[in-house]
Amino acid sequence: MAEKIMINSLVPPTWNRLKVNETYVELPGAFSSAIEENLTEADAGKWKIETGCGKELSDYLENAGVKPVLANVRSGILNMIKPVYKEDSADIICIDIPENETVNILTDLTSDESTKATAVFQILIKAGNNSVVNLTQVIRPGKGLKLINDIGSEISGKAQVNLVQIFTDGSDINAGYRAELSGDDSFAGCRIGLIRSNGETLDMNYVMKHFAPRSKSEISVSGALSTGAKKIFRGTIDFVKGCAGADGTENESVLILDDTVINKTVPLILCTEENVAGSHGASIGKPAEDMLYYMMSRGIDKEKALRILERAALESAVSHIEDQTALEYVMNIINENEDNE
Amino acid sequence: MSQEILKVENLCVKVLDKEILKGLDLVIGEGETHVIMGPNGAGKSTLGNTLMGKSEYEVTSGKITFLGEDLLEMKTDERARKGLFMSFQNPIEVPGVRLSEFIRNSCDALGNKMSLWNFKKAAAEQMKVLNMDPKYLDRELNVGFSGGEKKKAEILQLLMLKPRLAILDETDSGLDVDAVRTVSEGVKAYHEQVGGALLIITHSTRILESLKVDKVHVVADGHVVAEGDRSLVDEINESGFEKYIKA
Repeated sequence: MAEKIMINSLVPPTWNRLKVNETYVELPGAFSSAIEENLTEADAGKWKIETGCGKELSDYLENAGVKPVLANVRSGILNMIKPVYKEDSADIICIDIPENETVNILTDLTSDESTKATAVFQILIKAGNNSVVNLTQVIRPGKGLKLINDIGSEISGKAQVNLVQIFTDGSDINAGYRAELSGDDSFAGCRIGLIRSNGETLDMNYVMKHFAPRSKSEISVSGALSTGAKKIFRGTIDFVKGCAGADGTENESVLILDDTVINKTVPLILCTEENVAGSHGASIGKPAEDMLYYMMSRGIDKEKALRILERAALESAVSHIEDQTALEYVMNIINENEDNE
Repeated sequence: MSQEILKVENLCVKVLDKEILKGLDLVIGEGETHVIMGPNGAGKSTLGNTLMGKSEYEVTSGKITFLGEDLLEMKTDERARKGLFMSFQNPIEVPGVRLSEFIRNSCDALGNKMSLWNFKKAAAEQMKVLNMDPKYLDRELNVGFSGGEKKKAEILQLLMLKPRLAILDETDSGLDVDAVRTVSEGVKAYHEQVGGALLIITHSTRILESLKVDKVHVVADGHVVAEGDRSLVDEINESGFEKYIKA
């Protein structure tokens, strides 16, 4: 039976009137899997990793009988994960990277326009000492798919998790990411490029939790919103006592392309450790008239100029993709989208 | 005079309710080089931006005809597609958009679609004229560029877009002697390669040294107060604008 649960809750909550403290989503009572490959079931007890969408979602999936599975990923290749969405589905993919390994992973979350369903796609990452996980996600659900994309990671000493997410037009999306920087000198990078239009919602909750000394996190969001799009970005950097020398930054740059959009940004820096550096910055607004005038003075019409700026917002995130094959894959999708417009 | 391409008649322009141009007249023929000189605040840049169609410049009366059509009826991008170009005094930074992407999109918009290979080849050739490293093509448009680099990027666009009439708005301002020489070489190359007309707005004369100037117009207090050949530039160099301001 379908149930409404709370996800993306802000810690700590702020004024209720801002309506950003949490989000409620309705989930079906039963799920199938959208992963066609047969994957080995993971030991659920060992994969209790907190995610950005939060505990209530993880508990719900567990109660609904969704089992975590181990992804077959290896070094030296681009590991592709592409669910096939046909009905209500939920998948929990566990990625366990041993010490000193580097892996590149690409997930493409898309669906046919005819698919009417709710999908939960959860990734849990354990990055061993000195390992590198480059995770690129293209998130472009078709119009009938309500998607929850949720990630949790535990990052050990000197390990890096580099997440790049590209959200293109499609349907409503809830997204979460929580990185636990538990190893000394660990790093979590999170680069997000987004385009939202036609009344679509993107509700995000990203938490960088610094437990370890000299751990570092960087969140950057660049995007463009138009025609009734609604976006909430909650970005929390949480410095826990003991993480001396830690450094966390978050930056957001969002172009508002018309007056019909709603953009809410909630940057939070929580701190119980003195010796840390945390910063956030946001640049949100309409493209400057001077910028459009300059572009138009070269013969580019206003609509095309805005499309160029949208693309630039996506490319700002794309430029952080380490793996060449993943980069080409993402650029192809961006080019296809542009050709279709 | 060669065939007329631009005719400005009795142009009056307001910016934020302040009248800047007060009945300015100007005629430019195909392939000619005209220079607009004048003291600060005379209305030189207002003329450039009005020709290009910047929205906050309100034309209260007068007429502008470009290649036989009413320029005031066209939006900025339409003016550019018709063959008008302006090198900006302060080129705008556009984060995230590479110089190559910007110029290629502009070429496309002007009907000159090129394959990536041909575009890079053409751009590399023009960048040689300007002593520009081709790596600049991969940099974000004007972001972190020095003053000289920005002006070179403007002239590179001029060379790639090949307009019928190019307005150079204080292109030499803020540049050192070497940079002015390079930019000047680029402008000369445009004139030789394209044979287009130039409207050079300046209050200095260094950029004019290697160019053949057909006519000089002195603008003060919103209208043309003197016109002449190149010798007028030398006269202004010697005596300044004082007598025109008084006039």
